[in-house]
Amino acid sequence: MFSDLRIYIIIGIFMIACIALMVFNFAMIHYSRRENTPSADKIEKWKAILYKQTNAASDVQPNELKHEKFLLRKLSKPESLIAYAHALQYLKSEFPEAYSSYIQKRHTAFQRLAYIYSRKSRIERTCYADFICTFPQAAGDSHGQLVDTLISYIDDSNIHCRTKVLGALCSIGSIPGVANVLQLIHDRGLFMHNQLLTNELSNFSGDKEVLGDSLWSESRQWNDNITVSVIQFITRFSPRYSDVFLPFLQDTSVAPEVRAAIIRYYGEHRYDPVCPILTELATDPIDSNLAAAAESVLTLHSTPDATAARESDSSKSNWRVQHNIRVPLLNWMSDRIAKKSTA
Amino acid sequence: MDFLREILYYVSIFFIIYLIVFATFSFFAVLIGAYRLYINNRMLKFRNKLDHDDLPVSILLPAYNEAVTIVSSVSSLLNQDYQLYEIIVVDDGSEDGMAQKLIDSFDMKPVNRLISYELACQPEEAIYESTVNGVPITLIRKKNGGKGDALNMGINASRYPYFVCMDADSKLQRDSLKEIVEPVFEDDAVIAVGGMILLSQCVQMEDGKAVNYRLPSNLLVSLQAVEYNRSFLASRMLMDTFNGNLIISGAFGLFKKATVIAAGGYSADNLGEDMELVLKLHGYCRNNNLNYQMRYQPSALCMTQAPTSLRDLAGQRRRWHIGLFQSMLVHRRIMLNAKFGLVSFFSYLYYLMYELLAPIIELLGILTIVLAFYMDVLNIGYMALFLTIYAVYGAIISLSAFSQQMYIQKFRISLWDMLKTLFLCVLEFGIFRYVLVIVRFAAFLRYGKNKTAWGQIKRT
Repeated sequence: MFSDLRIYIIIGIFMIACIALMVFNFAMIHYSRRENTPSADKIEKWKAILYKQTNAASDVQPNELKHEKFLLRKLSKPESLIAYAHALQYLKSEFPEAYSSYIQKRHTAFQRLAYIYSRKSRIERTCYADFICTFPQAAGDSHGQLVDTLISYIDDSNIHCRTKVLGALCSIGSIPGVANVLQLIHDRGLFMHNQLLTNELSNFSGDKEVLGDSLWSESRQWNDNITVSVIQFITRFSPRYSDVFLPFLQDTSVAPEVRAAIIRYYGEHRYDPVCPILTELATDPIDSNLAAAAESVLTLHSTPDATAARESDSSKSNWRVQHNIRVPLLNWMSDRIAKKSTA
Repeated sequence: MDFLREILYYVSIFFIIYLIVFATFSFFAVLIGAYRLYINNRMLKFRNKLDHDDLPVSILLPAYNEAVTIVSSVSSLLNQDYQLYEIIVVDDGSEDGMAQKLIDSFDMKPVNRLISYELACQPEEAIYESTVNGVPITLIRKKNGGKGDALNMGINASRYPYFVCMDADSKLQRDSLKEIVEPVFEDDAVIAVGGMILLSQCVQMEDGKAVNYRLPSNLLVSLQAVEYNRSFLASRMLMDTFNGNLIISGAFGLFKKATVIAAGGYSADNLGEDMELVLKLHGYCRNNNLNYQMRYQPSALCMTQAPTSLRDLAGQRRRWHIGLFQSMLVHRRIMLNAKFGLVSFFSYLYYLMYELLAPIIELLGILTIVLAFYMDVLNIGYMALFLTIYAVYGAIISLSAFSQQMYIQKFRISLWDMLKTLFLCVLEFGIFRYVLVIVRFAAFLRYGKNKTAWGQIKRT
């Protein structure tokens, strides 16, 4: 009887817990439907406030101080920040001048908000960084206090937060800010996929050549992953690094992934003096990945030497090298046949 | 007689413990699943999303006699919101003209291309290539060798460092590739990611996006839909919390090519090649002390066709169960092995007791009830109450998992569908489960017949 009772109690507890769980689920579904996207009403309210404040639709003089206090109070909640961002985006696209004038007067408020968000959770900090990423004009000066506060978000950050902070700093166009973030990522051993880093750097709004120079000068003290990203970033826009990268390609103490990234640079930016080095690398039996990368770049630099080297190496055991040799050789032979038949 | 009664007493204790452990597992699975979904939803709401689409990915479509669906499957893959991917279809010796359909539909041309046989597989007979909408498509015709063998060929031919394996009848949402690569951007240690599988008969697609979810009129498909939600969502999310998932569905999973090659690739003689690979990867990484993660990404959606007849369903589940048996047998060293941590002491034991041996244990339970009835030691009222409560409990768990699914995908379902779901959950947990028990038990009995054959269901 006692054991029966115990089983009933256990089952009863399970049932209660389970029903509670189900109620929680349904409540969450209902809540999320309401909350997931900012309602049109909220956005319309913000639009009305912005109209009033920018004087775009009325002649009433706005009260700047009151509006700033209002913003600080309301926008410290990420839900409101998102609705505000929708309204601000509307203002930006419909009334660009009013937007510029409005946002330039709000730098102090956005600086204070950055500080308020710095004390919030990672998810909320990421939300604010995303806001700055979308509206970099809110930051004002690229050397300003807001940049420093954004960099402080990297402390106790996750990958989303790091990415958005870097994205925000690139949108602002802050070279020291970007360099500081990369330094922090290196110092703390934080992970950031090199593709992700490269993509964010590519959105830099300022002079990319200057950023490239600055990052390359510091990249040797950073880990190989960051260095690869910097090289990939430079590869996307600058042909000026052909001479600079050459010694690093020849230096066997440089990490293979960094040398591979340099090889890919020469794939994008043709540079004939690199061909003998690439030919040598293509015949390197030690690192097959480097050999394959070198060979694939040589296919783009079809000089007589490179072709001869490839012909002599067509018996290599590495299939990737073989594959890369075979394709250009076939193209080359078909060209010859075509020329002969034309002659 | 007393001895038999004593045995029955201990058997009943075993079953009560067995069911309570299962109930606890299901409860925690749904609870933890709900918490993780809440966090995921909060992250999405506050724009914590990476949204990058340039990790190079090769999509592998192994296929055998899929002439009916292959063109529409490949076409749907061409509309991905993703920058850098290729599609490789491996025709594993089809006899229904599948390759010709592909060649005609996508204007494919024969090419002379070297393939690196880093993983053993049947050699290629012909290779065709074409580019549609900027996406390279490769068709490789080879001798029949089974699904694992075809996947190995796909890996050998792939150009990119990550590959996605898919079934030939599977369809993706427009953003599925973008979603499934996200864990790789989040953590360098990620070597595999599993996507969420939904039944295509339940999902209404519009412009490459799942917009509505309805339970179809076919009862069998509806029951499978309820079952999929419980098993794919709840249990996998729980095991994901400690990197303990043992299955990444062959219908949609992403893998790091180098690690898969290093581990030895797919097994060609296993019906559960997807599970076998995951177990193999656990073994490879643990034995080499590698830091690794295998993640589950419920927002990466894949739609696959469910069998519509009991005969097809029985065939499918038979293959799955034999595959499970083969995989667990090959990797039996994982069991009770401290090196594998929770993978060994939780996941492996769970699959052993509640998946592999479940048909035997549950049939044994039914036999025990019959025996107890004959011996007049069965408290029928108590048993009926216990089983009813258990069925209702299971139905609530299934319903919770189902509502979570609706919550993730933001599907809106009607009140009628909700009531239907409630009914189906009871039916699934109270009856359908036992039908599958018999099917899976039969799989044990018929083990050895067509152990490596491709699964075929009637396509619509």
